Amino acid sequence: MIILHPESLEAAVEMKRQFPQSSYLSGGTALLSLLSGKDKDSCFIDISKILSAEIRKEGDGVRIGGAAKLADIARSEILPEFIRKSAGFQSSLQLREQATIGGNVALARFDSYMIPSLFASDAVLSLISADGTRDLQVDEYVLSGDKDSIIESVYIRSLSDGEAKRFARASHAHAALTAAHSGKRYAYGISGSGFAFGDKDSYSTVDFSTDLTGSGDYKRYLASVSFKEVR
Amino acid sequence: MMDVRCTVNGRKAVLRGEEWERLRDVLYRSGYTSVRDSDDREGFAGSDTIIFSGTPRYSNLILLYQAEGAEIITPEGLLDGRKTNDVQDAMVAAGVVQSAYNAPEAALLLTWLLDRKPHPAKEDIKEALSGIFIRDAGYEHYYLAVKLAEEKREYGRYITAVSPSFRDELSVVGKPMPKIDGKALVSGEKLFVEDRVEPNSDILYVLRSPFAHAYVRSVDVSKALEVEGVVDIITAFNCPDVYYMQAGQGNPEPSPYDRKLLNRKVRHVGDRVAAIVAKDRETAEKAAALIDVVYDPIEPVFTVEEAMAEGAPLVHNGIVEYVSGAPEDLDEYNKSADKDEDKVIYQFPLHGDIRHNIAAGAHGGIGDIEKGFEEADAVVDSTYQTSQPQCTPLEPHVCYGRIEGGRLVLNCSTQVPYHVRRIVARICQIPENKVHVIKERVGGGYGSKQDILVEDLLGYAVWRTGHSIYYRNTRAEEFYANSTRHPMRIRVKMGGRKDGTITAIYMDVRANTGPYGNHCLTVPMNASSKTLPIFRVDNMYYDLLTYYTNIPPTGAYQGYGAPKGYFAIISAMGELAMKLGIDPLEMARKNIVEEGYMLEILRGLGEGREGAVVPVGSCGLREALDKGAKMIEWGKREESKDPEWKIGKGFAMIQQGSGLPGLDHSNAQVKLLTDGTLLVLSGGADLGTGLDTLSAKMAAEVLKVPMENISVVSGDTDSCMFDTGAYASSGTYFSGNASLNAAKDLKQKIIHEASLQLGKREDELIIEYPGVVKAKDGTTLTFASLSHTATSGEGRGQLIGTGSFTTPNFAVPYGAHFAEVAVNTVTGEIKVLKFYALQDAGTPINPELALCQMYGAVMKSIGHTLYEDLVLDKSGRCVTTTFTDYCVPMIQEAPEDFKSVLIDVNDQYGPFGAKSISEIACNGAAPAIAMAIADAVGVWIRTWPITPEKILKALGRF
Ligand SMILES: Cc1cc2nc3c(=O)[nH]c(=O)nc-3n(C[C@H](O)[C@H](O)[C@H](O)COP(=O)(O)OP(=O)(O)OC[C@H]3O[C@@H](n4cnc5c(N)ncnc54)[C@H](O)[C@@H]3O)c2cc1C
Ligand code: FES
Repeated sequence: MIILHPESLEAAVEMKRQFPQSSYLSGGTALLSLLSGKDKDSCFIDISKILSAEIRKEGDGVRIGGAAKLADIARSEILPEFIRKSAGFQSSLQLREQATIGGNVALARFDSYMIPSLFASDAVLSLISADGTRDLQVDEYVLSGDKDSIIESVYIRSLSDGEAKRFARASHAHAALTAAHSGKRYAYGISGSGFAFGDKDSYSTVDFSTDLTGSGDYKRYLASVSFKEVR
Repeated sequence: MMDVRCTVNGRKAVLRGEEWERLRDVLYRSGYTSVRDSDDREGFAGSDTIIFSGTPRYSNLILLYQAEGAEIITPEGLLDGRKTNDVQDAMVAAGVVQSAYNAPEAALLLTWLLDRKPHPAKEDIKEALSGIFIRDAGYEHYYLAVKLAEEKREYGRYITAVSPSFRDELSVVGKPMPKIDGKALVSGEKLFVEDRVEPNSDILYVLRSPFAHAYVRSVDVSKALEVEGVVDIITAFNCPDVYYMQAGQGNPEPSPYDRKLLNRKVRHVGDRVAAIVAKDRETAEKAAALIDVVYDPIEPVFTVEEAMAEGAPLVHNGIVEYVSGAPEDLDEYNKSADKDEDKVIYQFPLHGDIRHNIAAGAHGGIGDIEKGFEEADAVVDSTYQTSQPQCTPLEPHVCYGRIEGGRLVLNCSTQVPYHVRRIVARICQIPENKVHVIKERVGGGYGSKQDILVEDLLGYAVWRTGHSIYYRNTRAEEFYANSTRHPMRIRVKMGGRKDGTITAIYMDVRANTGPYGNHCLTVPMNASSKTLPIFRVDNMYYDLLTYYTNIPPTGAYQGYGAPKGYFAIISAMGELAMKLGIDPLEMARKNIVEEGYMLEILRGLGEGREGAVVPVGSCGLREALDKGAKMIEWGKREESKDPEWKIGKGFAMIQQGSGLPGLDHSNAQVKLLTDGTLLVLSGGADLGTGLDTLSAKMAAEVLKVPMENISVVSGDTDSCMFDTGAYASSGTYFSGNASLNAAKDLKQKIIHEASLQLGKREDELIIEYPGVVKAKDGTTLTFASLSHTATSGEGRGQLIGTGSFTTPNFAVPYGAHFAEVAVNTVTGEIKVLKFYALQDAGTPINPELALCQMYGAVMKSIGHTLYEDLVLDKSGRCVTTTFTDYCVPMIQEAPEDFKSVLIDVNDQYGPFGAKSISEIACNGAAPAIAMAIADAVGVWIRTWPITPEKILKALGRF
């Protein structure tokens, strides 16, 4: 295994340009999980020390450093309750203390803890790549499939209340559906199927498929009843 | 290689290794051996937890270089010399330190919590333990452990009673007291097989089949053998021509010998194709990639339905032989045998018919079943399907072997050391005296370590190569190449009258044994033999057929077939009660057996032979039902504040056995050492359940010596005497009675020797605490003095008590479990709000351990009922090979209000009145929860796992 230790984010993205197969290593909870025999073939660019983990007020919103731990987000009193709750969807204390928001968003798993809530709160990602920096909305980032940029920070534009839901058979199980909304902004992450961003009916465009978490029909139904006011 | 400077447990340390190595591996190698791994670095089970610069983290998910400058605390850091800290002591006192593979990590987490929050709330404790999977003792007594630690800090002693005490007239039996190996386990001592592996040992790696069903036409290992570091490769074409089976059962086994070490036909994805002995895993993997296997795939069958279909592909179709009782038409039967297949050898007839995929069958009953149904006012006829749960011990199957003095020495994590010895000797074609099995501490067994799933291959590899070799299943292999519960389809037809009398019960059990016939008769038999005898019903009949298929192997699992049988039979009773419009609890009360009732049904329920008809012995069943009903306020409808959530209640009455009377056999010795202290040598295999403590208590009670004067060695086939093993709930009843008999024997010998030494008549002498012989005239002789004289130059020799135990008598534990659940009618979500487990264990010898056994077993069965699911894809490949995919319950899944209650009943046959405790506790959750769901929302879910999706479907939501 090769581990690169850039001293700045600029150096990190340059390394990524040089070694396109490498991965940024942040919390490592996803990258290092279950990896074994292949350890030796991997190339990691460690960004954990050069990325901010700060959570602070900025303008009307809150800026969360890309290296902020889910545990810190869950504890932060300046964030809306439903965002804190989504960070707590990672139900293992040990993982929560290690997993970062940058890693969570970058993974863009359909059962993502944070992505639906971040969309609901109108979050914008500050990204840096070899081509420079840019801001992108969460949904745009997910759809872009960008794996080369570093998520430097996440800016929560709306601090309004909202609701976050995770439907899984058990606390540590894969979720069939994670969903969040704040005001009229709704987002759904559907296991094995995809994300939906938009209004409360946005899920209807998703091609719901069957996997370990349940049938496509079940997930479609769950999405339709996720939030009480729409039942 | 790099040196990382950090502090470990408050001391400066240099950790040396590759930059990219996992911190866990480096810590273990550096001597912090309590830091283990249960899931191949999944980041789930928490056996690798450390405190890393102030926060709990999984050391497997940290790379070595990241530890530079870190402050690391491992469980070793909780110790002061050899002294455990107050949290560790409290955990032992509370009874949660059982198989204890990650108990040191739990102690670390709770110590961390208490340092930050001296008086944590329940939610804080839940949070602290949220990332640690505990399978043995459940989570409930961890709350108690924290409370005890707090009390010790505040008052210098425990205020809260750890558990109730039983039998005032006895000094240690029936009293909570620290398990004798508790401290060693919670401090993370080197007690497990992995801790025995010597440097430079080879490893064993198994190349597994990608096909569910295929002939193996050839295996070319020539290129693989050329890889540097490869020692040997074993295949079906060079392994011993020895038939056996892996179920660790009494000899002759009620399971067919339907395999060799490796077979010319693979029968499940993951079946053994080649076993590579190499210097390390990397080398073995390289070699495996060079092995050329020619497969000839056959259509697989996965379900009972597929296996029984006309013309279905046959999983075994070789020559059938019988060691005894061969049918007359056997030659004819064998005419159609497939010459490319290996044999199936039955020790005695199990009513199998492999040409129809039937591995075993049985049927029997009492009364007139049809008449019974005619007399009924209502009849229900429902079919229930159970899934294929895996035991998931935190320590996977593991074995280390070496040659010492020309003998094969195996360090094992097993429930059956003596069966391991017998079977490995058979495979190696050597006598038993050449094999030495050492049972180490077992990091979780739950039945799966009754089966000899890795020791067979490893033992042979060591004997063949002469090398020291280590083998450990990956977590994935635990799921697809190990053992699981037999999936069963159980049809129950039950008839009853309006007054609640059940008039007839019919059970049709179709079990799926998978590729091999481990426990193929006995597990499925249990679905009937442990359920029907709880009913006082005149007309009962069962049919059983077990089918071979190509799913991952099945075997023993705590509860055996009973949890499945109870799910079906109690659900059917609930459905019948609903149909008749009567209270199911009243129906239960009307139809349960009581002490003295003659169990005619047992005649047809012997395991492969005629069963003995005996009366019901000690029985706390009615009391359990009554008490449980009161606790849960049976009959009172609970309303949720949120109209979407409906609340319902359910229950199940349950029973099990205590070992196998007529089949099981235990032996023990108690030695008086020269200073008057005692050494108990027990054949019994302590799996963390406290069997060694129980043996010590037997000796302490009979010989009136302090517990600290007794040590126990168990499960070592060289130093201890034969025991059939720890399965079928035999430990307390069989091994315990053997220890009791050995202690009684020693007592007699002590009195005899004392009478010679003191010149007094034996009837003038008694034994008194603390280990003193006392004469009527007041003369005393300490055990120390007596033993010293006995072993002096002129003495008559060391005193050793010997005891064995066999019995025709049954000591049946009974109980009732009650559940209250909430079901969301819109989302299908299910919450177990309350669970009360009430059980009659006779005299609970270790009551706090007994309660934790109950909590642990209930958690497992809640898991099987609601979450766990081993899923195969269309080709038979297991797709749930991690804890997350498979979905085990964690602390968050434990019922909010969870109570275990011991019903006080004294048994006439058990040691000091004790019966078994743990297996039975697996039987109640599924039926109780299914009934509670039906009570809440009116639908019966008849398949495992009961998921929100199934509920929504049944409610017609989509
Ligand atoms: C048992 C288990 C269960 C899990 N369940 C879930 C789940 O249900 N839902 C879920 O969402 N996650 C789950 N995860 C994954 C993971 O824990 C979280 O998503 C976590 O937040 C990832 O963050 P990290 O910092 O650990 O990421 P890392 O493991 O460091 O990285 C993950 C990925 O993100 C990239 N990356 C990391 N940081 C950045 C950054 N700042 N900018 C750009 N790219 C970056 C990495 O290159 C890598 O590809 C699970 C993990 C485990 C071990
Ligand atoms: S990674 Fe924690 S026990 Fe395996």
